[in-house]
Amino acid sequence: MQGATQGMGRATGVARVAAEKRTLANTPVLGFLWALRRKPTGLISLFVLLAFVVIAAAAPWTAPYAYDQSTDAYAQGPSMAHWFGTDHLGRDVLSRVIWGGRVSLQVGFVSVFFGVIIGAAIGLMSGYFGGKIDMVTQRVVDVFMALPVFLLAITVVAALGAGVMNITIAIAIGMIPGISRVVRGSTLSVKETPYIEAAVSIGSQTGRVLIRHVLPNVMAAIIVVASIRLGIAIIAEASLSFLGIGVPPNEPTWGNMLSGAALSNMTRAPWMALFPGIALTMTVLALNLFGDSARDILDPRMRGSK
Amino acid sequence: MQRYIIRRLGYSFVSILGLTLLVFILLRAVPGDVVTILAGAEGAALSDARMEEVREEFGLNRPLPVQYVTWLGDMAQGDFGASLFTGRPVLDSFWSRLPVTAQLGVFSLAISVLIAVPIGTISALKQDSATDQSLRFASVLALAIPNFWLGTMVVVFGSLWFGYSPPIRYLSPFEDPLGNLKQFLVPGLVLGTALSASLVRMLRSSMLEVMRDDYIRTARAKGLGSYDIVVHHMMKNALIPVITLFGLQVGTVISGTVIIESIFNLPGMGRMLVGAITQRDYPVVQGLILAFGAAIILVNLLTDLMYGVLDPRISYK
Repeated sequence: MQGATQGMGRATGVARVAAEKRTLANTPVLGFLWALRRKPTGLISLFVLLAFVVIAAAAPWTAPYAYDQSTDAYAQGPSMAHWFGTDHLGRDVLSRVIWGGRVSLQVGFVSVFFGVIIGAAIGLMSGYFGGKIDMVTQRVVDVFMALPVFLLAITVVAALGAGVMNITIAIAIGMIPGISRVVRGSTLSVKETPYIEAAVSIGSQTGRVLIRHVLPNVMAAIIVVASIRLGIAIIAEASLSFLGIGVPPNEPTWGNMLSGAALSNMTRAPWMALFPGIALTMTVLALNLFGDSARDILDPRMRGSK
Repeated sequence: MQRYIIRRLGYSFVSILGLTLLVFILLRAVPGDVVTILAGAEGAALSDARMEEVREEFGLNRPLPVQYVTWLGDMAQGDFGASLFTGRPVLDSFWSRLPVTAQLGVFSLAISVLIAVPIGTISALKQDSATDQSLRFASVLALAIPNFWLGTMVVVFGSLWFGYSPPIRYLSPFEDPLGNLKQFLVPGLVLGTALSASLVRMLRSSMLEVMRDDYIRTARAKGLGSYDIVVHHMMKNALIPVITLFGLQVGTVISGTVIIESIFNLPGMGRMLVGAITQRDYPVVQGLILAFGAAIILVNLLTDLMYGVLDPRISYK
C-alpha cells in the first residue's frame, strides 16, 4: 500500500490540503459578516462606524451650514435651527462636528492604512524569514516601541511641523511598530502549518508563498489590530490637534474643537465641548467593540494581545 | 538569577542607546535644517553668510554621524544642551519640572489602583451578574473616552456647577501641602480613571483564572473563609500579570501627563514638551523625549526583574 501510492499520495495530499485551505482559511468578507450576526455588539458597532463614515464623507450634503460660517447667534444652546447649538463665533456646532469628523476620520484611516502596509510587510518578512533578519528587525522595533504612539508621533511632528499631511505621516510611523509585532506573531504561527509546508515543498517561489498563502491567513490578525489601532490613531490626531500641534484651527477636527484656546468660551457654552467629545468617544468605542468581536470570530487565541 | 539581571541590564542599556539614535534621526535628519526654520519663523531675512555662522555655532554643518557622537559625548558629561529661546540648560529645567510630573504620575497610578482593585475584584467574584456586566461596560467606555475630553469636561462643568477652576499658580508640597493636594486631586482623578479601565479588565480576567485554580479549592476545603481566600491567596497571584501591565502603563501615564498638565495648568515636563514643540526648541524636545523613553525602558526593566522575584515558579538560570 505505502510503496505503491507514495508518489501519487504526495501529489494528492497536497491537492487535498490546498483544497481544504480554500474553504477554511480564506474567510471571505461575506463569511465574516455572516459570522458577525452572532455578535450583536460587533454588528451594531460596524453599523455605527459605517454611518459615521458616510455622514462625514458626505459632509457637503449632510452638514446644514458651512463650518466657518459665523451667524449672529453667538453661543446659543441646542435648538431647532442648530441641533448642537452654536459656538462663541456663531458657527453651527453640528456642521463643525460633521466636517471635523471628515478630517479626523481621514487622518485616522490614512495613517492606519499606511501603517498596516508597511507594518505588515515588516512583520511578514521578519516572521517568515526568521534568523538574522528577524533578530535585527525586532531589535529596531523594540527601540521604537519604547516610545508610546503619542510620544513617537509628537517627535515626528516636532521635526516636520504641524498640518494634516505631517500628522498623518507622524501617526502612521507611530502605528508601524505595534502592527509589525502582531503580524510577525501571526506569521510565526501560520508558518508552521501543513499547507505552507506543502506549498514550499512543491517548490513555490517564496514571494508566491508569502502573498498567496501566508498573507490571507495573517489577514485575520491584521483586521483585528487595525481596528484597535484605528481608535488609537484617531485619538492621537485629536490629542495633537487639541494641543495645537495638529491640524490648524481654521479647519475643524474633533480635537481642535476642544482646544484649550476655546476653553474659556466653553464655560459659557458647554455644548461646544460636549458634542465633539461624544463623537470621538462613540467612534473609538465602536472601533474597540468591533475589534473585540472580530478577534472573537477570527482568532479567539489572540485574546489579551493588543 | 544574577546572570539574568546582568543580561537584562545590558539589554536595557542597548535599548537606551538605540533610543538616542532614534531620537537623533527623527529630529535631525529632516529636510530643512533648524536654522532655516528658525530664521523663517522669526520673519527675519538673515543673510546666507549669517546663517552659515549660526550653523557653525551649533555645529550643524558637520556630518551627521559626527554630530551624533558629539551629542552623545556631551550628554555623558551631563550637558544636554540649552534651550534655543531661554538659553537655560535643559537639565536645569528638568529638575525644576520633574517633581510636578512625578507627583501627577504617582497620584494617577495610585488612584487607578484604588479604583481598579475593588472594581475588578467585585467584577470577578460576581462574574456575569448584572453588576459585572455594567462594570465591564463602564470600563470599556472609560477606555474609549479621550482623556483630554474628560479633563476639559471636568474643567467646564466643574466651573459651571462648582465654581472650580484650574490653579493659577503651582503650589509645591513644601510650601502648602493642603493646597498642593487640592491642585493635584482633580487632574490625578482624571488621569487615574483613564488608567484604571485597562487595570480593571486585566485584574478581572486574572482573578477569574486564579479562582479556578486547584489551590483555591484546597483552601476552601480546608475551611478558610472567603475573605482569607480572596485576600491572601487570590490577590497575590492575580497581581502578577497586573504588575506587568503596570510597566506597560508607564507609557500611557507619560503621554497622559502631557495632556493633563496642559489642561490643568501644571508646570510639569509634559507642558514643557508642548511648549518646546510649538516653539521648535529642538534641544528641549530632544532631551525630554529621551528622558521619557529612558524612563519607560527603565520601568520595564524594573517590572521584569520584579516579575522574577514575585512569581516563585519563574527561575532564571
